Amino acid sequence: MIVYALKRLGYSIPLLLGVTFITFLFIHIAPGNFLSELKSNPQVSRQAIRIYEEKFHLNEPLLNQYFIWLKNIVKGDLGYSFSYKAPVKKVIASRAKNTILLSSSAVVFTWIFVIPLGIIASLHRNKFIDRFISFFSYLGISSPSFLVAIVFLYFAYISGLLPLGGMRSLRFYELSTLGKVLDVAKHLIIPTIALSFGSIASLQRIMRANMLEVLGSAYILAAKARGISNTRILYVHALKNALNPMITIFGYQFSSLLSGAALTEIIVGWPGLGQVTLEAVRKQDLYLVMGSVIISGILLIAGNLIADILLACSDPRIRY
Amino acid sequence: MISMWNELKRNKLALAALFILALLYLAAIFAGFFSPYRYDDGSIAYRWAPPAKIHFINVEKKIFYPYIYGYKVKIDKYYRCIYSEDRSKIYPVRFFVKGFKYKVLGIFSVNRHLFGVYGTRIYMLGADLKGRDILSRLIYGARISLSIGIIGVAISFIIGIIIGGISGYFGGWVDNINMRVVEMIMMVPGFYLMLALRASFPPNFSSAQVYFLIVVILSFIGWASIARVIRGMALSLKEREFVLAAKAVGLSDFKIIIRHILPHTFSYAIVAAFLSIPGYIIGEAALSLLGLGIQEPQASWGNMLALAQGIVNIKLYPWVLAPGIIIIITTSCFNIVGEALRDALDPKRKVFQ
Amino acid sequence: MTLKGKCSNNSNIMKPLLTVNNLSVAYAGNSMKEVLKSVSFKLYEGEILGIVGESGSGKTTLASSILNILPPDARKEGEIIFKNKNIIKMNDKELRNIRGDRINIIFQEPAASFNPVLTIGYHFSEFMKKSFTRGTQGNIDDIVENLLRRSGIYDTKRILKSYPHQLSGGQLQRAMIALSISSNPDILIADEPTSSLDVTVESQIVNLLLELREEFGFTVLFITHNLGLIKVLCDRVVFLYKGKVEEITDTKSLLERPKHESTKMFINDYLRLIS
Repeated sequence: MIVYALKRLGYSIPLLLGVTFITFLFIHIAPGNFLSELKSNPQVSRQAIRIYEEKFHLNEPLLNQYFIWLKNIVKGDLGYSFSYKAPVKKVIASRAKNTILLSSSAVVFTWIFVIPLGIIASLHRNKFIDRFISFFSYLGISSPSFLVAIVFLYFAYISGLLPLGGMRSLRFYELSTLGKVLDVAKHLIIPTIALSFGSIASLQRIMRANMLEVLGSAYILAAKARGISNTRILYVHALKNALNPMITIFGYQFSSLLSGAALTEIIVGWPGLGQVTLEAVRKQDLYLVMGSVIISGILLIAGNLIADILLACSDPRIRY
Repeated sequence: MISMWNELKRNKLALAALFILALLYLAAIFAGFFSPYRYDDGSIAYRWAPPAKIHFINVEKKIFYPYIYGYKVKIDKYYRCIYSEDRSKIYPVRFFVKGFKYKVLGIFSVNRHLFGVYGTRIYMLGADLKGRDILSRLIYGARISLSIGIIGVAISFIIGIIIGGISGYFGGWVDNINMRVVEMIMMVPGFYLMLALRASFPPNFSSAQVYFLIVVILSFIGWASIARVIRGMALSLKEREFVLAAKAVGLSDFKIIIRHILPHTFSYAIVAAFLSIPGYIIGEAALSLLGLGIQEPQASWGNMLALAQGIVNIKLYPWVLAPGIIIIITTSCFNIVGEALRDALDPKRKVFQ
Repeated sequence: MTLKGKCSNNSNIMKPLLTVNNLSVAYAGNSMKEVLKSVSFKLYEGEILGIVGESGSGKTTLASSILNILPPDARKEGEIIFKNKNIIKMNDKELRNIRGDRINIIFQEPAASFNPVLTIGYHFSEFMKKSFTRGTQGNIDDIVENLLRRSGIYDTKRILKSYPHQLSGGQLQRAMIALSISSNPDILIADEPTSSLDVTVESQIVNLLLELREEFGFTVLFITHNLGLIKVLCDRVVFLYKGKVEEITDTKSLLERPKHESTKMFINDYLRLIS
């Protein structure tokens, strides 16, 4: 087991290198860079520009720039953000935490709905409740998350029940610790629902299909023939088997949510990686953009790694 | 392939969805004909006008054809326009009316439109903040959104199928390298890469350049996943007898891939394509929504939705969500057809082969 | 290959343990095609009754009906009388008392009968706890290990900790037999228990069944399409053809003087196959 984890970890390193290189390549393929604006500004002297170019090695060949950048990364230096006038690492750190918080809450929220809905739909196959859930699933799959976010924001607006985005209220720092937690939780509700909507819809159908398949299998029939109670069959025998393939899916859902949360973050104003990347793009702040992409790439790879390990843990057939 | 079509015909829902998609693409191609106004034709006097109510029967005035009343505008203390029906004048809704000139398929100049009104404006779905007809913008926007979907998917799939096919067939180091690259691309979070790529280009691109750029970005992110699946299929196919037979006859590797292996992947590819197109449409919509995609005054469903971001607007002018509804409808249709095709191809239902 | 001779007829031959009267079963869908048509026979205490027929004749449906584990939308008519009650009409609670406890079944595919994510030991402990609530004596672990050894599995500790995919078909079927015997049932239904095993293991399993039957005294309903097994195992045979009972007689009569056309054809086909 440990060997497996280490192997996957070791495998991730070259993967990461490749990811960073691809991103680096593409950022630099494009014409112009953040200095182009400065260059066209008559108030900025040529000398100042040349100093910048030297400092950021902009005139050196591409590969060199990449290796310099890589060396810095290993040292922990992700570069400097021009728009924030601060090291990229500092800007990204708290943002990344917020994105992880949002993604985790979306995964938990999804899980809470997918399992019961899937079980119910499979037990009452083709009856009204099944068709009802199925209809909403279709709707959910087809609704892009940003639309759901907008609609929910609208409802928040007319009802006044939930905050209209952001992560903290104005009076956040005056609140007690419990108050702070509740405040963030309140702000989490809309983006979480928006993010989970599509996932719940599609994963619920998979759960239902898994349950149906498992419930029809020979060992379930054998257990029934042994007189094992229906509750036991459902929750011990069937569920374990139906959930196994879901565990990988949840693992990968987490990592894909890390990147998919970006758009929802932006709409809702949640201060996460997505939002900061957008700003960086708008200001053509090169190192900030690179930093965001790299960090989100790392999160994605880490998420997939955890998913792989989770799968190995849960399915004994893979372990032995 | 034909059997696929036959199976599909049995599924009424899928047929309906296909029909709707056909209508949408038709409207997109002949946008000029279906829209009463140009996409940038705005009249400040009618900003945020509500959708026109179409009346059909008026017994007293003995009218039995569709007609609308004009707009009566009042400006309240917040400088907002309050609209009401001006019952003094009747404007019949006519068909094949004369309107602005447009080019059919880029060649013929025509000025007839499907419907319209003389004397005033007919806003079927209301107007936006510049007084432009939402319906017309939706139809012109369909051109962008729908075409990006198809072109993006086409490019991704062509690249993905070729690389996947070669990779799976040859195996060895070719396969290894390809799959490592594919994994790397799949590990780069799509949205961030999209933003990053968009960042590398100047923000003030012309719409045509942005369009091209979006297609390129989406295709680049997208080919990886299809390549992986096709490679898996090629791997299992290459051990089958017909491939060995073709090799024995001396057919070149290239021909084997093109003529024997790839056709077996087509049915899967088509299903996957249908199910992927919504992703591309939404990707373009997302970029445009953020202001990084298609720019004004060009219409795209995404940048039309940008107006809905000011939540107040949804309350005052709910028709601003129309592009969102169209996106949901389009996505649902693609999903329904895609799933129906997938069920049709399910080997458990195959009677022959 | 040696097979011990079949058991001699018991003295309780007049008392039927299980009576099937005009049992008809149809599955939903398939335009309600009737899988069993008015099947009637009696199972006497202590005998080994064979149910024979080609694939699709309804043998497994018959077994499933006795335990009432058919899909809920299947249509059942008729009676299956066990201990003066009709199984068809029983409610869930009564059925659960019978299933696993008084009537047990072992299936054709041992690998498919065990839950792939649970250890063999878990299957045992779960099952024992169920019947334990009815006051059986002794330490569960000891009982289980004894049973396994009786069934020819000697490496008990390792087997109990294993998952189904780690064991061979023969081992799994032995474990399944041990599991089914553990509640001391009245009737053991064996649905083609050796069809997926190779021939050497087959004879071992059949011998095992005979030994256990001598020791524990359960009645066996042996379902198979293999006439060779019928010849050495069963006292009487029920021949099923397309859901109908064509013949019920003792083995010798069936094989030497089959009455119905279908029976004759089946025997002829079989003999041709093995000669």
